[in-house]
Order: sequence, then structure tokens, then C-alpha cells
Amino acid sequence: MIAGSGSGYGPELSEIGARRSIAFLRESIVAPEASVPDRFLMVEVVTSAGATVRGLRANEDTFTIQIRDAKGQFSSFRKSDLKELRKLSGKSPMPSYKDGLTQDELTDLTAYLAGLRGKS
Amino acid sequence: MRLACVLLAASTISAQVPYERIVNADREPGSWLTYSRNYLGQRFSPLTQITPANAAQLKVKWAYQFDVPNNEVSPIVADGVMYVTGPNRAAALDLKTGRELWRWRRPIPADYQNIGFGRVNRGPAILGDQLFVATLDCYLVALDIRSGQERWSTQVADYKPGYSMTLAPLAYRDKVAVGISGGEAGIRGFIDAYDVKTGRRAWRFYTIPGPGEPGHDSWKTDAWQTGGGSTWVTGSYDADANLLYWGVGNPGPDWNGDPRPGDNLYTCSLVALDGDTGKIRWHFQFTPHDTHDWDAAHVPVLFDATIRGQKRKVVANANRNAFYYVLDRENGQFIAGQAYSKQTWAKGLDDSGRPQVIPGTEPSDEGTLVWPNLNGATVWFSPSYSPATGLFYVAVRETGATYFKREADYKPGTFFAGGGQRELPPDDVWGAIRALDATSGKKVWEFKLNSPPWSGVLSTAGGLVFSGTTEGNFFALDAKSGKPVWDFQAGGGIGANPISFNIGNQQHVAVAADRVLYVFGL
Repeated sequence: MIAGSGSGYGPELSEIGARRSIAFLRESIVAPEASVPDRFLMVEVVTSAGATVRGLRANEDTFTIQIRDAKGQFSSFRKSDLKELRKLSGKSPMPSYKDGLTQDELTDLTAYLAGLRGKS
Repeated sequence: MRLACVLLAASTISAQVPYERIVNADREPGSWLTYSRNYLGQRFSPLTQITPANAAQLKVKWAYQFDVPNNEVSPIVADGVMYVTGPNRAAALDLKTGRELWRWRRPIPADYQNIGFGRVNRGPAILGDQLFVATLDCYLVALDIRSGQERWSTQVADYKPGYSMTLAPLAYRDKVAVGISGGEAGIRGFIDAYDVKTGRRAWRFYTIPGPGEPGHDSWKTDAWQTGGGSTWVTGSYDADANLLYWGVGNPGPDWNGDPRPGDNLYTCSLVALDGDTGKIRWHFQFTPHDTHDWDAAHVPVLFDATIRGQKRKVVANANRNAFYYVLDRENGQFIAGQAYSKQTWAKGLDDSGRPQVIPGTEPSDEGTLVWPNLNGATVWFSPSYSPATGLFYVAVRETGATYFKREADYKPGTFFAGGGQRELPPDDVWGAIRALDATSGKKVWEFKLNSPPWSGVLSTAGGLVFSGTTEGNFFALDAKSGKPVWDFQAGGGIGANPISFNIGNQQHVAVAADRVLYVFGL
């Protein structure tokens, strides 16, 4: 999300330029799985009924897990009701834009993100 | 005259908790009269109404809100009243409703510093008609159990150099014993006992022996003067032998052992002290010359067992250093021991129980990765021993850390640790409730936890094990199999010891979770 716009599925970007270097931002666009913060852990569960739910882990304890999918919907499961719980460490829901952007577009996007420094 | 008679009658029917009631705790299983319920440190309830078959019906009966966070209290329950404490505070609660009957506060001095630990209190002690509370600013206070008014208060130490008290006192016979915190401030640790009537000190045992005392030669330099050896977790008591058993904390500076060559007695040890005089009967050092902050800050667990065909009076300890020990509690002799959690610092224990340390596992300038981390494989929160199953239940922290060594200059009232640690990522660490064969330490079952726990364990004759998680789950396991039978989300991290008691004739269980104390029943 940037300045209140966006889905909120990924990280808050309104001040990302103040928190991350240009090199890090560029890498995050072309190789988003190079550095995935702990609070954006991808998980995939298979329920006892056979349904698969994939998304970001919103919270977890010993007995339950809460997941937010790409549409922003939350699902909550008791672990004892699941057939499988897979933690997809290092995986990111964001695709790589390595081949989707030209070098100029990549430079422009990186510069835009680097300029996001919140309210002055 | 009539008024005097009424007052006399009222006072004679008021509850008293003489020593005989505590030492015979099994005669009144519905009470909880000392920190671990009995003097043996077992945290085992003989109550049987709540079982694996009906635990799923447990519900909150009442809750009590503290005015501070991170509560670690283990309450006392006697004669229809629950007594709770917090940092420099105490309250009496109506056991039926949780409503306050009285409260007591002592201001925390503005210049007080908690160096290396939280502003917490782990519970009171009761004896006669007095409740005993240890304060952060190092006063031992005796309160009238009916009114909460002070009978006496005694300064145990000066808080300004870093001494403090967070533990529940241990009241026995005509004395009340306390230990102190401050192992990260270069204190010289001790255990004290005070006369319950007058508050006068009966004896003091220094955990760092001075010149001329046995064990002093384990300090090769003057480092003994700032050697640490705090005593911040409540001990246990063998009433027949009149011996106190108490765990001793780490040496200082914590992570830089260079200024203090030698074994550094009695740090990271268990000491057995004469209850009348405080004189040491024996000691056992778990981690000689510790450099990882592995205090022996645990409740010693006493029980009798037949080991290799012999009846033995033993004391067991699941140590912060990741090894489980069984010692003869009459003489400190090592009987059995083995690792109960991942550890990478010792090849094992030799025949005397001394660890066979792997070279290169000390903290270093560049960092040394070692299991367990500085909080240990377990720490202050209580384990439980069930005479019904013969199992020792312990909350285990499965996490390592990269340890660093730094210079340490002692200045009174400042952090004197000589290094630190870098934690592993949150998803690389976990926890467990583990059931060990109490006479050997061999694992019988485990129940995995999402993260390393900070909650103690309670076992019951009803066949249950209760504990909590950092994420706020309070839960019950089948004591024989470890299978979960009930859980409740308390809404705040649990870093306290559960207890069980009766309200009327009905069994209940209580635990503190952050700012709230919950009481559960069927």
C-alpha cells in the first residue's frame, strides 16, 4: 500500500525509500524471494475436506493458524483439523519482474520507490 | 466486654496456616499453601475431578485483572482466599468470585533499576497469619492475611548496586527464606532466612565463598567480589532432614570468563543448606566456569524413588544447560543425567556428573553458535513431578544463539555482562512440553509448541498436565500420553506457573496470562 492506496497484501511502501537502499529495492523487484521478511511467511494448508488454502501467515500459535489470501480474506484453522501445513519459507506471493520490465522501466520503478519517504 | 468477646471469637475463627498444615499439604489437596504446593517442589496436585475425559468442558469461572503487564505470579490458596502478588504489590481475592478483599502497595523508588530482568514478582508465601512478599527494592514484608496491613518489613539488601527480589519467599518452621536477583550487575549472591515473628535475619549464606571459606579457591582472582551467584528462584525443603535446596545463578561477568578463572563456586550449582543455620551441607555444580548465563535458577524437585534396586531420596533438576540430573539429596552424589534438549556445548556428563565441555564453544569476539541460548533449555518457570506417573514434566526451549564476548568493567549499579547473544530467526526455534522418566531423564513423550515457552507446568492426580504458551494458549495434556485434551486462548502471553485447588468441593485451575489471572473449572 502507498499513501492509503493498494490492497495491503504486501508491505506498507509509503516510506520504503527511507528504510531500504536502492540496491535492495531493485533486487526486491527482480528477485522478490531473495529476502522475505519473517512477517510475510507464505503458508499452504490442506484441510481435512481436501481444500487447499494458500496465503500469508497472519498469526499462529500452537493450536491454530490464521491465513490472509491474495484477496485479503482471512481463514482460521485449528491445526488438528488440517491434513497438511506447509511453511513456504523464502517464497513470495509477488512474481519476479526480471523479464517483465525493461531496464529503463526497472530504473524508473526503483527510483519511484526510493523517493517514497512518507510525509515530509 | 461483650465487644471484646466478639473480637476474640472472630480472631479465633480466623484462618491460620501453621507450619504443620504446609508440611502436611497432602492432607488438604484443595489448598495451595506454598510456591510449589508442597515443600518438595513438585507442583503436583492430588486433585482428581478434572480428567482427560472431562477437561474439554473447562470454562472460565472468573478472572482478575492486574494493573501491570507480564504477571508471573503463582498464587497461594488458603481457607477461601487467593493471595496474589505483582511487583511491590499484593492482594487477597475472594476465592468464589475473584473480588478483592484487600490490596497492598509499596512504591518502587524512582531510582530503582531492574538490571537484566523484568519488573515482576512470582508469588507470596504464607505462614501463620502472615503473608510474605519480596519486593523489587529488596524488602521482605510480612502482611496480616486478614487486612493486608504490614506487620514488619526488613531490608534484605541495598537495591542501588543492582540487588533486587522477584521470587516467592519460602516460609518453613519459624523462618522465611529469600534469594536475590542481580546476577547481571556484579552482585555477590546470598540466601537469607528471617524470623517470621520479628523479621530479624536468622542467617545468611553467601553463594560466593569469601577468603578462608570452602570453595573460595575456585576463584583465582578478586573476581569473587563481583562474582554474581544470584538466587532468584524459590528453593525446596526437606522437612525431615531440615534441609533447604536452592539453585544458584551464573557467575559475573556472564559471557566473558577471562577475569574469573576457575570453577567459580557456587555459581550454576545446587546447594543444600541447614534450615536452622544456613550452613552448607553439600553442593553440586552443573556448569563449572559458566560463560553462557546458564543459571541453575530452577525449583529443585524432591522425590523418593527406587533406582537400580535401591531406595533413594533424590533431587532432580532439568537444568538451563540442557542436561537433566538426578542427585542423592542427602549428600549431593550424582546418580544419573543426560541431555533432555538440543545442546552443542558438551560431549556428555562424566561419572561424577561434570560436563565434558567441547572446546571452542565459549563466546567469542566474532560470535559462537551454541545450543541452548542464554535463556537455556528451560529456566525459572517450574517443572512438575507426578508421583502418579513417575514422570518429570518440563517446558523446553529449543533454541540456540550466537554468543559474543566483550570487555566488562564493573561499575556498581550497571550492566556487568561482558557480551551478549544474537537470537535465531523466530521460525527456526520452537518449544515442547516433555515428559521424562524422572529417575533417568529419558524422554517418554513430547508435545511440540509453536515457540519457546515461558510457562511452568502443573501435573495432577486426575491425569493431566497443564501449561501455557507465549502466544497465550493455556492447555491440558494427557499426563500419560501427552495428547492435548483442551486449550484456551487467553489473549496474552503466559509466563507463569499454573496451580490447582478447590472452590468449595470443586477442582479449579488458575494461571496468569499477561495482565489477567484466569480461574477455570468444570
